[in-house]
Amino acid sequence: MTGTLPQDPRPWPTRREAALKNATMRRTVGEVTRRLAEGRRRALADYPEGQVKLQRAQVAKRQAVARWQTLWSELQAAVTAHGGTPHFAATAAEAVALVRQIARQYAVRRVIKSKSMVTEELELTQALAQDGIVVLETDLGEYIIQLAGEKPSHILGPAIHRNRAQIAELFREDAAQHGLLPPSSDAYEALTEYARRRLREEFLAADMGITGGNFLVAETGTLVLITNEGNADMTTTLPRVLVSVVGLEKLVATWDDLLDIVQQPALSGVGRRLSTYTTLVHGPRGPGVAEGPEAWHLILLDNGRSALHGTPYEEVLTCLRCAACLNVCPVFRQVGGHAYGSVYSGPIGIVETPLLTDFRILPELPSALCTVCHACAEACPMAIDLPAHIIRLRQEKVRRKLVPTAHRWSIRQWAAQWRTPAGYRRTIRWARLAQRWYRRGDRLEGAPGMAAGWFQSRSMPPVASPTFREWWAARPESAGRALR
Amino acid sequence: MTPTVAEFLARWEAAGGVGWYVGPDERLGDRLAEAWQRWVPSDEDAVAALWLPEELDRPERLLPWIAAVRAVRWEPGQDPTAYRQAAAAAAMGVTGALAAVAETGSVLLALGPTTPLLPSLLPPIHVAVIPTDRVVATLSEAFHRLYRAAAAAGWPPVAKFVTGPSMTADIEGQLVVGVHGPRVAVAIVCEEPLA
Ligand code: SF4
Repeated sequence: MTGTLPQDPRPWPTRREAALKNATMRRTVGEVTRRLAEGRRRALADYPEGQVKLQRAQVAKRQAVARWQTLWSELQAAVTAHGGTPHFAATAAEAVALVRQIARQYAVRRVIKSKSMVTEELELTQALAQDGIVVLETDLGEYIIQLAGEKPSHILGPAIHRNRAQIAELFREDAAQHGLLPPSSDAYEALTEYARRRLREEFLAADMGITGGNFLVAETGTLVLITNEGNADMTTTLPRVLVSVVGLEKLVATWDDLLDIVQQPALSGVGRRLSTYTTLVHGPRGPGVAEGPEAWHLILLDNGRSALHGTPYEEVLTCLRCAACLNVCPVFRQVGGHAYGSVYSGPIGIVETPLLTDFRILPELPSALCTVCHACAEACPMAIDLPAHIIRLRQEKVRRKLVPTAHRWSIRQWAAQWRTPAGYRRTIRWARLAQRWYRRGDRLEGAPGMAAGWFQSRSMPPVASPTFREWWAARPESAGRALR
Repeated sequence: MTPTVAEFLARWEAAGGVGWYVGPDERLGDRLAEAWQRWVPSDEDAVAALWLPEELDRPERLLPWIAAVRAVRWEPGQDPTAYRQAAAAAAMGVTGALAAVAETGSVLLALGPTTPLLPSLLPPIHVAVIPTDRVVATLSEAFHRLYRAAAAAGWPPVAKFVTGPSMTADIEGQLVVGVHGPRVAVAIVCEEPLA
């Protein structure tokens, strides 16, 4: 079944212009992505064992995605045996309904969340707010954008588009609203200290925690969460109810498979052998235990994923959300995550957004935000052939007539002309006739129709008279024979 | 000190932690006192959230530190909310560990009736004390240790590999240590006394 994803209602040119004009965002995104990409390169270079594990992990993950249904049955049994409650949600709406129902069942008033892309997909915070439940993001970046009413701009650094002064302003307003001491200065440490102080009370007061998940191990019923701040550890151990919403592509078969794959997000994402916290959740607390939830609900989410099963796109589901492809993408480095208009940005977002929603939203992504430079394919730890998928999606768009008619017609005419040498020569003669309106000095600086776009930031030499071909054919030695 | 212990301490420090080694003729309590003196502000009410493996949890090993602080301990049957508040108010958390991993510089903790995780998470300083025989070379060994322990006694509700202090790069990509978890993460590898 087709999935649904939220989307930025602004059209692509508006999103693009907004991104290109945001100097703060462009500087920070540029610096952060370069640093992360460099960290990854160094971490991999001095850890050959990581490569060996990775090769096994690629195979294991592809197999797991192909037989997710069997693994899900296994996982359900294991989770139930640990005292957890597994649920399946075919659509985003079903998942949201489940979480709301669980919140009602346990009379939940306050929720804390650790960072999760899947819950962004569901717009869960907004849904729970409708029931009068206070939901707080606890990842520092997510908390900042929650205060700003924005969406994440990078998988790992959701708030990298905002600068320190803007964040300090948000925190001061927040402090005034809650009668708290504001951050003592605009320094990084002071801002972080404010978030620690502010969210600490929320951690201790919350009745329900919501997490996503990096991996689910079918054999052992383990949910794996990878974080650096410690907020996922609070979320999984302090509130009395824990709900984890996880995409079905996160399943891996065995404990040994987990061992091969568990370091990969940190290695490829931030260039460390492990992130600060690798948290393994198995179930609610037993008797006599000081912490941990009293109830654990695990929701496996489909939302368009299983539709990729058996298609050439199936491997896309092996994505680890490590963000390596974003960090090396020249387009992402220029425009940042918001320009994509989807929860998932960067090369993987270009591929997943139309696939999960069957092209219902943002069909411009594969065409407008990729130069097919192949940097992402080299960076992807899971060897997902992102450029090939992007090209396949472009072809699919033409087949489905998702390309503007004028655009399709122009390209078709062009192709028809250039199918023969005579046709090619004809178009060159036409161009020579037409170019006088677009000539500035000895450069060509414009063209009619669709071709005008090309000249927005470039110029080219005009068509020569005679062209090389004409000159060649006119030589006495050629005896009137044209170049073929 | 074995090469595995040395590698663990080096990698733990590379991850932003502080790594110490306590030899057979040294006293763990001296190093705990040193940590306390270095990182706990002097005006702090002297409370530490504490649990240690049995062989280390003896006054003769923990003096002089243990005499100078009030230790909050979890006893099954106690009120969890009260324990939680006490752990949140503690200046330092001291715990044992199931294993330490040289290859990644990580400490493995598993939640159980006598091994709460809150002392490693809520106070601003966490000290993990690891007997030498629990330091393993590779992540695989630690994973297998956890798997075997689970096969024998069931899976812990939560287990975690901790690699250094809590940190973030969410503001302009600048690294800041100590967001929600501890700002100072100390690992002490402790040799068994010979006698
Ligand atoms: S597509 Fe590959 S590089 Fe991009 S986030 Fe997923 S796993 Fe990482």
